[in-house]
Amino acid sequence: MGPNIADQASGVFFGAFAMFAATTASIMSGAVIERIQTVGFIILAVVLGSFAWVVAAAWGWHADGWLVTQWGVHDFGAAGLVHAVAGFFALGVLINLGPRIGKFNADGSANHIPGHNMPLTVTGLMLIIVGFWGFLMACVIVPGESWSWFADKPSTIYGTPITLSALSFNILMAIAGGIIGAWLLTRDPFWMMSGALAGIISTASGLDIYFPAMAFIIAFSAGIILKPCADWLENRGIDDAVGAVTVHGTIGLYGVVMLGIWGSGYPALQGAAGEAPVISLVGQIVGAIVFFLCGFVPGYLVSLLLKKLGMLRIPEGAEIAGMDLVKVPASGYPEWGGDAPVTPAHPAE
Amino acid sequence: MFPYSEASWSVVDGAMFMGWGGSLPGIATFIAAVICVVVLVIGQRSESAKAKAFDK
Repeated sequence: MGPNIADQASGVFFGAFAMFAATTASIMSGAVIERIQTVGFIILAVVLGSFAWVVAAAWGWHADGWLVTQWGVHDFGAAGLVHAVAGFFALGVLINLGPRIGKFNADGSANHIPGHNMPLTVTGLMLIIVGFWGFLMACVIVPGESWSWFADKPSTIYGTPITLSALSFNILMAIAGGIIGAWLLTRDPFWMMSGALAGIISTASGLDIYFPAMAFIIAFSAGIILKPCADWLENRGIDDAVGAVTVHGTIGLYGVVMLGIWGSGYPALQGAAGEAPVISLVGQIVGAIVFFLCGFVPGYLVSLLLKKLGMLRIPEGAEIAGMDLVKVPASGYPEWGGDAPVTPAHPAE
Repeated sequence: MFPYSEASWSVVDGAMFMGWGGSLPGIATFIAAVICVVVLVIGQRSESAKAKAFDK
């Protein structure tokens, strides 16, 4: 792993995959905040980051994976095998974890529990957008390494061609489309920046081959459906504090299926005509179902076990006092005191 | 569909984006441009209406 002029990218690839694993846990962390035990969260993060998404990647993000060779699944930017797996793993956990105290009223209606600082929240989301450039560029196999597909041109993990120009421009268009779509429906800075993430995730499967305007349109549609999908989940009693299940899970699967609609007939893998599997709508739907199960099943089962063992949720008194006060001997938001406003999540309904 | 006669990347030596050689890129660009203009119009109208509500 030390400096070696004959091996420029192994460390980058290792770092990228370590980051993918950490990303899965960070996706889940947003959904479960303010009421999960640290030990329970760490166990779940290990299961998700070192098992659940790894299985999905081995099946759908490798030239020998059965989803690729038998179904032609193509998921260049890991919309399904990282984002959807982590998103639906979080959904499985949320079912057992339950909502935050005060999130739902006795009649089942939801309250909006705001963050402490909107500018900081938006800045954080923008940092995620910036991080996506590294995440997606790290999905490119550089040429000239002993393990590269080609000596002279970059490729995807499937050995299909890609250019950094295509990747850069499609990411830009996806960000733009996602923000605009979310703005149209919500006018809310939080959902607009989440829309940018949704835009990237909805196009991630085909960022290598989308025409930029197509990436914009798909991302725009993802930005539009984002908030209604989150509301749908919330109306069923699921308290996803940051919308992670929707942004990463639902939109991730949406992106996988979208490539099946628009990219049908494209070779999913490097190989000769007739030998290389091609992308198809059925194949992408099969991939989406497998990615859903890879996330949801272990998330639900492990969190159920942790719940039985008393290692999932913090005590009620600690939750009401706030995790900052319980765990950190400092007041993070003294200006709020204990009088945080509680407002209806859907005032128009 | 794949814009080459053989469904293999080995025959591709140049453009490799979806819709190459057909009308899809042009249609997609037109739709994207229309979306941007329509959103601008909707935004301007709703913003004006909201601003007027404060103009007493």
